[in-house]
Amino acid sequence: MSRVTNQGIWIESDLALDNRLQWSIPLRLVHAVVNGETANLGSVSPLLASRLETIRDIFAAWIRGGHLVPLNFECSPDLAASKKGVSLFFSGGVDSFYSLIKHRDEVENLVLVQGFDIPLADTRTFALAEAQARDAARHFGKRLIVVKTNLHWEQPSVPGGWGMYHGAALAAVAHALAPNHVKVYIASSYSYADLHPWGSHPLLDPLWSTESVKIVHDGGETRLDKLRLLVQHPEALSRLRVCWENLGSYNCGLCEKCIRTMLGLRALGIDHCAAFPDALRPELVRQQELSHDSVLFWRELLEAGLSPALSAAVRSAIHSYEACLPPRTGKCKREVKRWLYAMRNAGRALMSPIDCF
Amino acid sequence: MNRLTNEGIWIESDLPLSDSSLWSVPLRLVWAVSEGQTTDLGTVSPLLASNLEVIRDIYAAWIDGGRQIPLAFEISPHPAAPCEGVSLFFSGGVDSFYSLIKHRDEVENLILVNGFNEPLTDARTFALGNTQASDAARLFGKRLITAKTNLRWERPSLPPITNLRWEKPSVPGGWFMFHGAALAAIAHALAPIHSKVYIASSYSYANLDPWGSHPLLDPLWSTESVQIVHDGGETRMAKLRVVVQYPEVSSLLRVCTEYQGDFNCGLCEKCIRTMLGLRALGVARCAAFPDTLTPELVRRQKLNSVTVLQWRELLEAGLSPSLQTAVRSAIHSYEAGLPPRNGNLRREVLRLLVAARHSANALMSAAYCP
Repeated sequence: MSRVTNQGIWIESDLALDNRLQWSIPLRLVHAVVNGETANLGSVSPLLASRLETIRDIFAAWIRGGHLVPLNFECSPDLAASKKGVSLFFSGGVDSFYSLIKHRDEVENLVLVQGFDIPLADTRTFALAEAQARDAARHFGKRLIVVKTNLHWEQPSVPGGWGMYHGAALAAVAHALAPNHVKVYIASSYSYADLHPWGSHPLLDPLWSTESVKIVHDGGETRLDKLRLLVQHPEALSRLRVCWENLGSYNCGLCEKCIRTMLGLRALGIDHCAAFPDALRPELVRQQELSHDSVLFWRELLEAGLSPALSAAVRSAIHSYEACLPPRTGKCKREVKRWLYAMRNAGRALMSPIDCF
Repeated sequence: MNRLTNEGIWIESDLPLSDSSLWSVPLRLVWAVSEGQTTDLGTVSPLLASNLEVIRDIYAAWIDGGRQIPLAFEISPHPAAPCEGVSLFFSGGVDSFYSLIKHRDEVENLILVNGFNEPLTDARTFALGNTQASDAARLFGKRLITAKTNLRWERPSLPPITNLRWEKPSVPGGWFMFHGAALAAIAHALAPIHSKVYIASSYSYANLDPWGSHPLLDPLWSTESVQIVHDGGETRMAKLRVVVQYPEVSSLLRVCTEYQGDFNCGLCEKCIRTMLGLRALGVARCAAFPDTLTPELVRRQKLNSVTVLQWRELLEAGLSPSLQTAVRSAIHSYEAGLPPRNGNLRREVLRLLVAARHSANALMSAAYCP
């Protein structure tokens, strides 16, 4: 077992790790921008050094209360730790499988991180995720690299949370694994049509590259486009793991992310998928509470060709979000609550011209 | 006068222009995505070739009806060697001046394009812009380069299919979905005079909505011989803060897009917003703007989803209470979906009617059918 540590943060793996401190630069830079302290970054490769100011400016604009902190570093030549190897971060979801299929001829390693999506303490859920990733790796003829780290669950979080930080965390793991690859793919979270601030981002991810490890943000296609490719590969579809609920099985079939994925599959003609329980009903769809981020995926579903009942339920969920109403549950109490919310919204709209300005 | 032409598009300049057809690749690629037609892009440098798919995917996602068309091109075996020189596109606004000041030691040429911000027929406005850019170039000891092009405004007669694109001069989303590709085309056409070109950013990193010149997109147009840099994702207030340290610069500012005779009309949203920023930074009078700033004028500005971001910056800029209240009023009108106040009773009635409609919609929404 190899282990690298810096300021209480550690990364472990069975494979060789790069013990130069360069791996922790992304983490230290983001924390410095958050805390408003000079970023002491030590030795930095010339390529990364040329981009540190841009990265700092981006995080200062994205993070609430972020500061344009001074950067303190020395530029030193980056010695390649490996001459070959291409990896892909692999969580087993739609994005990961899409990028794996797209680059199946090039990718050699799938990297699964213990301590990212699943808390370090939840070894049972991680064992399931690892078994699934190992199965996927075997099927596609790739090597699975398992990495363990405390950088998410045992460290202070940044404003915006893990969603704002996870790109830097992925970059840190990519650099720690430098002896194993020269290029690492990060599967995109969103399409190019949606570029709101997010820790892993097409603008940001490639800037973390060094001469020895190139970081590529892959796949700005829409989620439905990605699913369209996946349905041509039933072996990938049956291994999908999209759920964040960690209820002990792969996909709960009840959370917003499961429902959204099941709807996409249904729209593409897949009525039955082994990875999901058979739970998709219009009532369940209608009662999903959407957010600013998830509603984008739901809007894609409107034009995807769902059955009239499911399509109406999708419209209802989107409408509830847009009208700032709690979603319908079929219960009388909820309908009354919706009316109360609607009256509050109506009152606010009526009052709005008569304010103090 | 040197001139490059391709499919009815031309670029002219007194300086030597590139002898390759690569300059038109950005234009042809964006048109192809918006029209859904495969286009042969010809010979492309290896670096640009490696980014073409990403550029296509971005535009396919951004343009209404854009498609992931197949790309046809050949990779040039011997990419052109870079020439010496660093340039900056210069329109004379806050963004241009900020990037000029930031890179004053590096930038050698300022590029002003006739046919971008004003129609080719409007010689008077271009002459005003040209005089101002000459003053700025002289002030900073830079060379002013002017280029002229019809790529935004003209509709040369072309065979029927390709003629479609001239029904709209640019692409769905208009000029501001296209102008980054247009800047890249000019940068490559001028390859003999530079190896690096700065494009001053339009917005801060906090606003990454689809826009033709974008930090994600601009650098992807680079080739081995011309590096294209999107510069300055700082906020507009941060940029103004630098600019006001150079009084000779703030008197040359040209931000107005209304062109009513003077550089800055002092009445449009962009003028008002810039004057507010200057006022917040303690510049009570600026020679570049007429003395028009009153709370009433501020309050009646109609904002949109893009401009409101820059108005929100003004809320924390330290304006006088009356201007601050007027800024809040304009932002509030936008956010509440109301026509802005203008001091007329009729407008107040209209605001009440619009509010009643919003209120009725809110009540109806709970009973909405799905």
